[in-house]
Amino acid sequence: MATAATLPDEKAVFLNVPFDRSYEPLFLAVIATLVSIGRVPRSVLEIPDRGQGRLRRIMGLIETCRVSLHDLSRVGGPARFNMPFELGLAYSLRLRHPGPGRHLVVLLEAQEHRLSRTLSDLAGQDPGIHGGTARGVVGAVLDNLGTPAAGPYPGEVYGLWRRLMRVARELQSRDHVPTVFSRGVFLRTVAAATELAADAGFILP
Amino acid sequence: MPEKHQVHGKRISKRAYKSTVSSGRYPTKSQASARVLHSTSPSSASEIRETLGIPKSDVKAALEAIDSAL
Repeated sequence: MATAATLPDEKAVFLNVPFDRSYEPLFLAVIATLVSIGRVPRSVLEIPDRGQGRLRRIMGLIETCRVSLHDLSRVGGPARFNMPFELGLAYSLRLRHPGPGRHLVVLLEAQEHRLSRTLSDLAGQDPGIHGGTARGVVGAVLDNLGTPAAGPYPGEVYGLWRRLMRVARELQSRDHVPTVFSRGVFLRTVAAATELAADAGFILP
Repeated sequence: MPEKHQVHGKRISKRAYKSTVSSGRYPTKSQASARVLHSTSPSSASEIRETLGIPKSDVKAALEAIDSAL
């Protein structure tokens, strides 16, 4: 776990998002956007599914990230409690270590005003609204973590996302897996995003 | 047309103007007036891969997939 001696990585962003097939395009949009602005996407996909100490390792991963991003747009059944649970872990970290370097929480939702009903404890905190579209995710993530003067612009990141979608499909096909939500495909997809972002001139090689 | 080097009332650099407005692409209004929570200098591609511990074999596989898909 991160301690005072091991400060969180300023550029690392912990991803707390739904791992279902319909969310894949948005997941890839999150990765494309973060990599385009030189951020490091981190996910529980990096941690083995089973085994002792999984919860401790998830908490440790959140602690190594200065920022966590939580998409709370999945509110229908079947009930999935991992996301609100991990949001709680992130908020506990934020509250335990206050001050200018405290953990930052970025919220995303598909619909405006819904979060105030589904999670009234967070009343007054405005999530980025993506409308369930990749273009919306790009805009919402850039709004919260991008640097407008430095670019890249949303249209440019959207173009990178379209290319990354095709590459991710190819990686899935090569691995014979149905989704991108596996450790191997996740890491190779991020690797591909870094190459595409560097080729586009968004980040250094 | 907006005033030169200005989008949605926000001044932008000449470089940004050239790469967006002049080429017919506009940043969104939200982007032009973004509420940035946390800014930091960007990592390079190699730094991102290093932080995640992505092995060279995975980078090679990613490059092959890019060549094949695009």
